[in-house]
Amino acid sequence: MNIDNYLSVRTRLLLQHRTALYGYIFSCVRNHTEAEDILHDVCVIAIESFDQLKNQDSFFPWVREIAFHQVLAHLKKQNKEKPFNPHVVAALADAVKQVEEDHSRLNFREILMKCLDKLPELSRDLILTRYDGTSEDIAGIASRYGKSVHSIYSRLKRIKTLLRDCVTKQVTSEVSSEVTV
Amino acid sequence: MILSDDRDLLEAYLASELDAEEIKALEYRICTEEDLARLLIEISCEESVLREWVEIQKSRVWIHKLVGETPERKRSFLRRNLSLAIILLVTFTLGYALGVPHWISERTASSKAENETQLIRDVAVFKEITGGELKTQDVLCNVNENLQISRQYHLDQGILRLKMNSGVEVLVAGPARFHLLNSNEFYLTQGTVTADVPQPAIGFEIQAPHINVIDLGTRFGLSVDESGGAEVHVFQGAVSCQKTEKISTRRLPQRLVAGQSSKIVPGGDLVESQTETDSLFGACLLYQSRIQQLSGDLKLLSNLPESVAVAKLTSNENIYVFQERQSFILPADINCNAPVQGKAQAGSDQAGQSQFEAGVIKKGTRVDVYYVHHDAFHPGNPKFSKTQTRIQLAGQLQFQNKILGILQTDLLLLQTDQLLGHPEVEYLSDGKQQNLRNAEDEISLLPDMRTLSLNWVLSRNQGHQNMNAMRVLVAADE
Repeated sequence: MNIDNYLSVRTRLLLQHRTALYGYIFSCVRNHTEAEDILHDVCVIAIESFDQLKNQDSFFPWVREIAFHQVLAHLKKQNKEKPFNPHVVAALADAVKQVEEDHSRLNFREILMKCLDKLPELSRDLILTRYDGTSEDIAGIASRYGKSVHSIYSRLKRIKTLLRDCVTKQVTSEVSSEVTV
Repeated sequence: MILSDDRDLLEAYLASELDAEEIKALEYRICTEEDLARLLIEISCEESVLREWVEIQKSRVWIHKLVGETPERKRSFLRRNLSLAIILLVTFTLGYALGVPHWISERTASSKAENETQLIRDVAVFKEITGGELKTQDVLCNVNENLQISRQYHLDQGILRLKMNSGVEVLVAGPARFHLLNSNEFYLTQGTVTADVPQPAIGFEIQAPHINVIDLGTRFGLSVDESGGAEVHVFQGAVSCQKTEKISTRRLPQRLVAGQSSKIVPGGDLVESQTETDSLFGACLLYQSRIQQLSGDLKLLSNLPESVAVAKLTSNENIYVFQERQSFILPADINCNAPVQGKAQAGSDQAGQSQFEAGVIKKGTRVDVYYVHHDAFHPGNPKFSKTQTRIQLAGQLQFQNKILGILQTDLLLLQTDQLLGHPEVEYLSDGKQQNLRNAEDEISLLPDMRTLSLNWVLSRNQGHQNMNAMRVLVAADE
């Protein structure tokens, strides 16, 4: 049974591009709770106005434009407490298009997931602790592990470097196997 | 170019660990360095996948605790869990689309609006008016009076200048009817407005019966006719505009940047407009630039030019004018050609050189600065006319205030390009281009000391590269 068969085209397209959309929104608002709320609104608008999309190939630029306006509207509401620079929002909108083209071509999300699965136990634990959705900061994690804050930062940095290396290797091997085939 | 510690810097930015100065510097780089912007997105995408992976691991632990883990069960339950998550996502999204949250948000919004309209408060100041009267409920408004939300205002004719409490300067051309929603939102029922939005007021919004325009840091104009049909033109920066509809059928907003325009008729959609900006907003733009009148071949640029270097802004029909600085306090003495008292000409029939003599405008003087530019098409350009290689253009330029001095030699222009020029305009494409700008043909000052009469000749024989150009410094009000 393939779950894809039960999803509408619009939902499948949204799921396909959610990482880039979330990446863009989070880059702009720098807060996960707000980014999730905005992504949700973007999904609703995209589903509602999907009929306006003339060509499915241009889905990402289209939904990115929705995200752009939602982010601006959100930041505008908060402008008094948290001033923002709309030029950054626009510059990131341009950047995410290129990143998404690369990531889609390389199957980035799936490859990074595989690399995460291969992490050694200790590194897995640290990633799970760091990204488990609670508001515990690095100082709290450091105290739990009995390490210094600097040491936790360094370890996380090393893990991320390992993950990036793993992704690069996987991409290279997939490309070379494609070439061989 | 990506530097070795840029990744750390961007991660600190995302974690809100930078101070205001560091954020400002980094955001400037994000806007100007594409690879840095891409790296920021890549880091955020990694973060997104890491969080997703952690969620999957947590759900695996939860399943394991409930049923005990076997490889087969693990795969089966994981699939079921993913299916359940996706079904929940779709159900929730559909529920949302069917309007429950809209009903809640509409109720919240209407309750907020009710509270807001009950609070009669000052949100703008009526700064000046020319050629008309501003009234609310048939009562005449006076200059320097505060304008309040919940009141309907009516401008019969002329031009009105408002300063919103957010800092936005709004010009309204009559006949116009409007009201204010708050210190950064304006509702235009009918008429023409232009808005100049400073950085702290970004997000300024103008609503109209069929369109809603949100500023993204800019100068723009909106014109609404009696039927509610509207046009928006962007002069600088960008705006987001959207057709006003019920929430259940809302459409995608459009982003317009400098030089673009869009229009809507009642019942129609937003479409690109072909209307000349001058025909709708000319009066407001002149007023905004503190120019009383332009005549002959002179034309005010509604959009700031990217460059006035050789062959970048060319026309065989017009001498272009744009304002470089407004209410600018001179940071140094400026050498110029200053008007000689009592030598203004009754007409433009005499050469005006003797009307000006070498002078200095003192540091600390408040001025408006204008650039007057004429560069015709060059040989080789498809628009170059082989039959018209000597181009003569003339006209009059009348400012609201007195002219303090002109700079019409290449040396004087070069000396002041950086100090008085607009920061976003390129004046010379490289440092080697000199002796190309002058405007010594005919410049006359009329007796009101506010009007210049120009009669400029430009030759394109034998591939001449020179341009006619002049900078004008005009006294500015406090």
